[in-house]
Amino acid sequence: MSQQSSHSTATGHDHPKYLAHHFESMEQQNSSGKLGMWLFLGQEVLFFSGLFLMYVLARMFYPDTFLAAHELLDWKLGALNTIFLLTSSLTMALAVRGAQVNSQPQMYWNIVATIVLGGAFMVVKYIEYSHKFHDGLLPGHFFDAAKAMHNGVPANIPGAPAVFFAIYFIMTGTHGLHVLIGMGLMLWLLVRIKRGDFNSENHVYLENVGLYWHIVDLIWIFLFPLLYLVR
Amino acid sequence: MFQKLRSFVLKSASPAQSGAHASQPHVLPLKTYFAVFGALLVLTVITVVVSVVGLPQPTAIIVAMVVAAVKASLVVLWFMHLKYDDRFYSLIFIISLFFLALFFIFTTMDVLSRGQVNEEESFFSQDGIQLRKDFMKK
Amino acid sequence: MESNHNNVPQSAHAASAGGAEPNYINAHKGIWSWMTTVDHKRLGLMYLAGILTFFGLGGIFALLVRTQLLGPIFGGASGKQEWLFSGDTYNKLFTLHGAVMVFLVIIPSIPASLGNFFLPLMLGAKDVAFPKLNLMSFYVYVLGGIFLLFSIFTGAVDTGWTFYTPYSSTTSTSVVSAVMGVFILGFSSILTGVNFIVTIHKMRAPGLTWVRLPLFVWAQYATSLIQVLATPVLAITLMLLAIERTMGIGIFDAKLGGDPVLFQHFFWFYSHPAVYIMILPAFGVISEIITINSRKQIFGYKAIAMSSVAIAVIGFLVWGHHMFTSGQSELASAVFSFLTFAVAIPTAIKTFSWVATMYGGSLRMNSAMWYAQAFLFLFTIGGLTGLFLGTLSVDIHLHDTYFVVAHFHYVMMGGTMTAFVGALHHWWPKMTGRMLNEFWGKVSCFFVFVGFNVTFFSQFLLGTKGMPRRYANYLPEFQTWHQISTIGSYLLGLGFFITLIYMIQSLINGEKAPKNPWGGLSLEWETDSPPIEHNFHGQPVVNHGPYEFPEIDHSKSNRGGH
Repeated sequence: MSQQSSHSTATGHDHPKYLAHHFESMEQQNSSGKLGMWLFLGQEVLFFSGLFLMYVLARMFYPDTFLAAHELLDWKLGALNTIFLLTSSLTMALAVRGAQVNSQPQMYWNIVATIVLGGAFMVVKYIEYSHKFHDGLLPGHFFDAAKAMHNGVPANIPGAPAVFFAIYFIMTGTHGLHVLIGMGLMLWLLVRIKRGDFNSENHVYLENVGLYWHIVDLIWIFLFPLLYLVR
Repeated sequence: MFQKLRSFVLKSASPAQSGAHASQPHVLPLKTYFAVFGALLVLTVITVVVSVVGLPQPTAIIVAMVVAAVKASLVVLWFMHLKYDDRFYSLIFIISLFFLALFFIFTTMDVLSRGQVNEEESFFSQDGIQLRKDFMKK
Repeated sequence: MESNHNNVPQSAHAASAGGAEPNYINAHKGIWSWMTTVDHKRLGLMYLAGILTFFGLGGIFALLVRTQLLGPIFGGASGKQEWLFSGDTYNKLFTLHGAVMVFLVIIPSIPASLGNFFLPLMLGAKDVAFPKLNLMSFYVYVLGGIFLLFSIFTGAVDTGWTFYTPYSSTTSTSVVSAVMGVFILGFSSILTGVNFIVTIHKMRAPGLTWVRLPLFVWAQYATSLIQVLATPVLAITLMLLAIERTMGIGIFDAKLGGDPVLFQHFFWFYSHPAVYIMILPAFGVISEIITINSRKQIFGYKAIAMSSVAIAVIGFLVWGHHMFTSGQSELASAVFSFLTFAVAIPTAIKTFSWVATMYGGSLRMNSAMWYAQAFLFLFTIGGLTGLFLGTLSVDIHLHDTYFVVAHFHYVMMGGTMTAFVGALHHWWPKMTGRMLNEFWGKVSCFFVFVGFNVTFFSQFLLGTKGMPRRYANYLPEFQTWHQISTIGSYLLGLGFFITLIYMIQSLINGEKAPKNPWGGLSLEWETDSPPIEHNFHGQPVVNHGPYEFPEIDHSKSNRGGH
């Protein structure tokens, strides 16, 4: 490995304008950005770990509740949402590929598609949530079995339905919040893509948003069977 | 041994002095992406079908989680590019999964092993089960 | 390693005079330039100001708590139980003392202030990897502090800093505001951790291999690993607690169908590794102070470096030792007790190595070195008493007594804060360009050391006699030791107050500091005192380790008190 002799970086360096002053090279800048993002994803995994552990233990405590209550979740909507997110992961990955091959339209339109699919996910989520609100299937204090029964929903669930719906709302809600954040980040990406900020040498920001989005998809891959497909 | 471990893990985590080797992005062919996507869709269908078919527990949950894990691996390895990237990122991801497992295992171990000394404290004791059932009736 | 000449710093680059170039403090003027700075040195100073302020605040709460405990107890016929504060107020005081000290002071203390300032310098870099993220971390810290302190005005919190359910999910005090503050503070911690790990991996100067890093950097690396992996679990715990309070979801509260011990598992999964976030940077600091002031290569460099990482990992395996009497299963308790012994081993390796470093060294007993000696004594006691508490059978008797209080104050204050103050003395010349008054430095160290031991050794005795913690009053038989402990706390406060005075005096008209007053060999000693904005006058290149001091020191460097 060649030792750099000490010299001032201010002289005669090919310094692209998107290279930050505290970095020596694009390679250093890009790999630093990605490393930072993977570390952040590591902590996201641990953040959700608490929610999954809560699910595991509650399910162990109240197996009958989970079995009965999940019937009140519409697995078809859940499956549809899974398709939306998986497709959005594809389009996001294609957007990153677009940056790698220096294609402005590929970047732009794939991000648009990802946003649209994320939006579709949130719309389905909204439909599901509004059904729950309408039927009184709410977390904790707010669970109203009487209202549900009144609406013809078989809510005579044994056990602790309030706990089940609490877990349902907290897990899908936290996940949904992350989807919204991702969509916000992607809107900003569109602005930057239009500005011409990204090319094959400099697109770590785009890649990082992609990594974030894939983690959000990953969480859903586990959420779907655990919440909707309990048998 | 310390040095070998270090160099394996830090294979491409090069600091400034690695010189000017500009890393060309590793571009995967389009069909790889679509193949992965296809596999993901198929696995989703399998997940749903298996659930509808109605395997007994605990087989059902194990199958569901294994399928989910396979789907997750596809996303992580290809869409997130971990298969082709600096090995250190994989290490970070695996380490976080390791600590997640630690958290799960120790906590669940506690819950399941209560009652060795005092019968009533046990998760499986008649009292415990009855308590949960009583709670249910509220 | 090639032979070395006296006190040549690590860089082979001869420092240029750098005369006219302004330093980082006066490079840009005006408060807006400070509020929008991305310079790690300025951010480090701002964090330092925040940390010291909150330390003062937490200290005041502590003095109020101790003053309450001077007092007589059962009021006899009048029935008056507490002489100064009501029980409710007392609960709020110790809760705030704990929460402020843990989340606003100790966890950020060394990493956010000195880590921010010195990591890039020690690595020969211009800044951290993500300077803007660093600025954001600072504002997140401020925001979290505001939320936490805001809770004081809306009724404060009386649950203890540990927020145990079901009390915390049902009490009427401002738990939500407080936990939101801590949640936000957690993000500051996480982002700082991410920043540091990337900086250490990616921004080392040419020639600065992992085994040539100062041990402060290794310590900071291990700390950052914990910050990134453990803090998110605290975040989710507090979020769930807030939701439990507001919606009654039934996860932690038995009346609603939950398990209170589960809260404790969630909470301590973070909070045990958190104590290693607190102590590891202190270990790093001690390595620096002891080597430089012994003029000797550190004993067992690789052992100390690896033990930092080992502590970080093993620290995640022992959280149940806070829960031995909580209703946790006996099997889990036994497992956690066994693993707790394991974490003592790497810690002991360090302690022996430091002592071995000093043996045969040429000791310079400046204030920093005195603080390091205090650390060795106090931390050893703290660490050993941790073993008593980790022993399951013994802990059944000592849990929730003053023994625990004494133990953690010995390690957190006798350990981390002592090292922190010592580090301030050590690096003050570099940060401010001024020297601190050595005489008053030693005086304050004396008062801190004596005051600390009087305060907290008494509490070991109180604990073994059975005095429970978090009580606003006590049985008459405990009064003498409580009063002794309180006197000690006033001495301790005096010691820190003296420190504050001479630090301010130094800023006003302290003696100008040379670049390298202690003859250090790591890169930060090559910069100016205080450093220029971009740290170095050129790219430093490293060709030897940070502790390769010559056997006999021929230099004419300043030596205080040899």
